[in-house]
Amino acid sequence: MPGTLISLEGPNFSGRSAALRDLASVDAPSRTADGPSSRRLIYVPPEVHNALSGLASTVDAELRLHARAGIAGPAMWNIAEELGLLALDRRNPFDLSGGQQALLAVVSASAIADEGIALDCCLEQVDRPLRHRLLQSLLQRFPLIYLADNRANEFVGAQILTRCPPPPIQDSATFGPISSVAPLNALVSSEQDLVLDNISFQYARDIPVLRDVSARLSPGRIYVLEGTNGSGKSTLAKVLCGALRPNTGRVSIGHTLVRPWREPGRIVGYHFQNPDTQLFAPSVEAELALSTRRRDEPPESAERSVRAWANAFGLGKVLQEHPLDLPYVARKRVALAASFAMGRSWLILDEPTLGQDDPTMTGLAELARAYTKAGGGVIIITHSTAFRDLLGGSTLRLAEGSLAIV
Amino acid sequence: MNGTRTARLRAYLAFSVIVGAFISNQPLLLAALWCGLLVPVLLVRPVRLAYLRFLAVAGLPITLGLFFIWGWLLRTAPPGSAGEMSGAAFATLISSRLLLVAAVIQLCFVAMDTSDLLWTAKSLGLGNTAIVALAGSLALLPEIQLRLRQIVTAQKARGLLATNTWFQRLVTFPTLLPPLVGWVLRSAVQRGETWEHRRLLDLALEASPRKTTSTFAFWVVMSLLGTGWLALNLVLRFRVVATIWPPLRLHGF
Repeated sequence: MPGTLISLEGPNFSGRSAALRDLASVDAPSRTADGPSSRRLIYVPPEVHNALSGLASTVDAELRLHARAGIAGPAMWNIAEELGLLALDRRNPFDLSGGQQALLAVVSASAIADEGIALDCCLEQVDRPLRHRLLQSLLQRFPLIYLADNRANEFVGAQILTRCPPPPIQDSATFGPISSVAPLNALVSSEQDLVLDNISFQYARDIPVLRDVSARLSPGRIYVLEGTNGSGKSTLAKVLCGALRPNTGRVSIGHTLVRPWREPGRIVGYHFQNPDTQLFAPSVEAELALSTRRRDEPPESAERSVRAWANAFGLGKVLQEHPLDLPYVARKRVALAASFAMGRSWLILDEPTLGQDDPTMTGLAELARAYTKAGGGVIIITHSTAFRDLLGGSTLRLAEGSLAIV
Repeated sequence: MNGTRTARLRAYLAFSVIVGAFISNQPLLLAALWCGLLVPVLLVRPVRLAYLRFLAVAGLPITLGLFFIWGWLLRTAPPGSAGEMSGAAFATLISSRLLLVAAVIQLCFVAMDTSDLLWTAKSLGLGNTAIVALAGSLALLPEIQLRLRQIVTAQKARGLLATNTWFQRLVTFPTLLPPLVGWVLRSAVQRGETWEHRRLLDLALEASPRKTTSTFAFWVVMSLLGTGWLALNLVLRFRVVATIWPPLRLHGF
């Protein structure tokens, strides 16, 4: 008999993560005087890279480490095979895409849980069919699956049997909503097409990720970049912003050849899927100041700009906080604000809605539209169908290394 | 239990070679074990690429550095070094010791999966605290490498590097350190939470290690060769045989 899926619903900062951690006894000691305590539920956090053990150098070793418990070894291997994780067996877990890391974290948790798994906003970055398959497998295996996910209705559908009332609101007074009234006047608009000409890229000793990718993208528009987990969406974004140098191919703005890898981040800005990758200043204020600083700008004006971006993302009350001390949802917002504030003519947002509730998602869509109205171009990587519908725009589909405009 | 015996043989081999390397003051003997046994064995095992990378990244630069400093710049061995020798001879001795010790550690431990290594540590009698410290230190280096790569990528993506050159990266390196330390510490805390919540160290220690390509007999032979080599070094260094049988002094023992 299939298990029960319990979805905890509520807005951001309503305490769902804390509730899941309590249910899974994350903060309880793993040993008591009588020996190891049982792990009824295994909690998987939104920062999926932190749910990886760090003790295994390959996906295979990570799965084997968890399978050793012997509780659900064979079942775990079946799920892993069904989700395509076994095809990645020799890859380093930290080199996987965000979606693949999420799958690995959940599947390995399934080997050691006694009764179920508590999933905290970690599946949004996973392909829709894979999410569905994963949940089906977990429900066959466990009596209980707890879920806190803003996009739960996108991939769970009729499986939700119980909706828990949200716990009392704790922090919502600290963080405001996202507003599209942002200082977009500083946007560096080129009003020329971004042209990708036969871009190819492969990581060392790996199979090619991008094969002769060509496209002409017009500013003033939103493009939604789609593709399965590990198809190379984030790699394409990193090539365009200049963080990675392609093996072959050219990038042009209009008819002018540009080399983003020589002056990275100057033409195309990039918001990382994992916000922790992007943040490294000691305070939210300093983080935003890194993005808003302009040559010859007086300090008062720079300060105003930082405040305006902080307010636009509901971060006005946490300017002096260390970004890494904020909850995941707020860290994602800091990273988003820093990316928007760069004011590049092109902006790529990689899974910007991770962990964000529906009002925030709507605010983000409005902000992206405002960005295009100001003359910029926006490319958004998302697995959320609701967000894609909100954005409208054109769809870019990346499959087997090739890009197609749908 | 075969796994436990293999673990003990690995530890014994490493111990005997390391002790022998520091007892010996004859680079020829050190080189003989390194070139004649350990390198060939490492090159036919799955660890060969990692070992060759180690030689290229650390072994060769350190050796060249030692020869540059002691053999070319200073030309004399440091005061207090064993015996009278030139700087070049001193550099040869130290680099031979380092290469030998690195090779035996690589053969016995580094080639293992982390979880197998932890299990081996436990089977050698290490306490829980030492095992946690070992696991933490093993996870730390990849974590630092990962975060360093991420910060550089983020700096590029956010337009914080004026140009994408090695010089620019060198200039901005000090700015990397505070976020690097902060993030690694934070990550260590979160990883520790995951270990605790999932009881990963218990899992690693509960089951025996996976079967490897090397057999128990291989480690027996290697340990015997290591023992023989250690004995030879003891004899030559401390003239043990000559003490037992004085006539051998005539022949240099």
